[in-house]
Amino acid sequence: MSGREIPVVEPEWLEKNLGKVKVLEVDYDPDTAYRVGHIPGAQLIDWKRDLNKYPERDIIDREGFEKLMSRLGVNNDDLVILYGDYNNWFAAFAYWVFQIYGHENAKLLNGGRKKWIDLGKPMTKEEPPKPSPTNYKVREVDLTIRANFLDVLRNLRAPNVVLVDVRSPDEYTGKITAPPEYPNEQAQRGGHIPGAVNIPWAKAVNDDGTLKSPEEIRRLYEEKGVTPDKDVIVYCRIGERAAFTYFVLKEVLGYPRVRVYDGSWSEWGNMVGTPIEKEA
Amino acid sequence: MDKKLRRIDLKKLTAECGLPKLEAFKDFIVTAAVPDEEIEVVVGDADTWYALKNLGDELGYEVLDSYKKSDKEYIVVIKVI
Repeated sequence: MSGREIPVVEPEWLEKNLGKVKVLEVDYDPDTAYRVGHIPGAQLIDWKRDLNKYPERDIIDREGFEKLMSRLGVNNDDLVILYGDYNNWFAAFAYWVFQIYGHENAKLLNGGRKKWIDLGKPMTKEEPPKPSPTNYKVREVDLTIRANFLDVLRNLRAPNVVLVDVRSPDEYTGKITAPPEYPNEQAQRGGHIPGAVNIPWAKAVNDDGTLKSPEEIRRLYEEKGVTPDKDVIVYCRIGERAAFTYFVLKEVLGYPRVRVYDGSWSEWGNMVGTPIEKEA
Repeated sequence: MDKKLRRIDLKKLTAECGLPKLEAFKDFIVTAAVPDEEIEVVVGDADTWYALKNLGDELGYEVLDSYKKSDKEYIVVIKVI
């Protein structure tokens, strides 16, 4: 392992630096997370409302990202600490969006809400004062870290490309068509994209939600043929767990070419005529 | 008459009823309970535990006790109003 810095902060560091950095809580369900209690001073990013573009199914565009950053009081060079509910999945998704829009000075809080609460760190229901708008401008857009449906279809079984399905084994094999966390959101068919290897996102974290050591994580992926010389495409159901694994591969292990297929199973598993594998 | 404390594992309940954790908690524990019933709810993570400890006013229950039993088991004892 080289001496590269992993963009993660520990709860103890954040507690000491509250008020000096921008803290953003990214939630799938703010009503049972941010609004029940959050880190003092943290602003809310509501994943569904703020990071997705409507009525299309897409991430927010460049202008939308600029508006969001301005509303949250974020300047181009601010250090932003992201954390959230659901094991930091949606915070990792936000991190990936931040990378697309060139905001490199972003880090994840190790363990997310879960670890912060578990350690008994301070929480509040009080909303922070509305920040002054900023003049945030996206300087560059990097879509090389995003894969779309055709990118995946054209690369099926390509020897230099490895597809990683980060869902649970039951979703991968087709035993269930929606994850336990979203049981009402079924796909038309169960299974996985042909050739994909199954490495659930959770294998990279400890029970408390914090990241395992880079050595443990590297072993986990290399044993399944996910090596840094390959083009790696990660997917899950809607891209949030895949974004977490993107963070692990790209930022913890330093793999150079990792893409998130955010259409994921909710696109592939519902698309007419796409090839699917099912296995026990 | 002594009240018997019902113990419900929210993770198991979620799997059985096919709902997200907090919806299952609301629909199958709080709404389904009889008034004054005391229930021990077991959850597997600190985030859900924190939510249960703080949603009482909104959902209609009192929190009688809450503690971490182990790294994978957090307890909230509620009394449904």
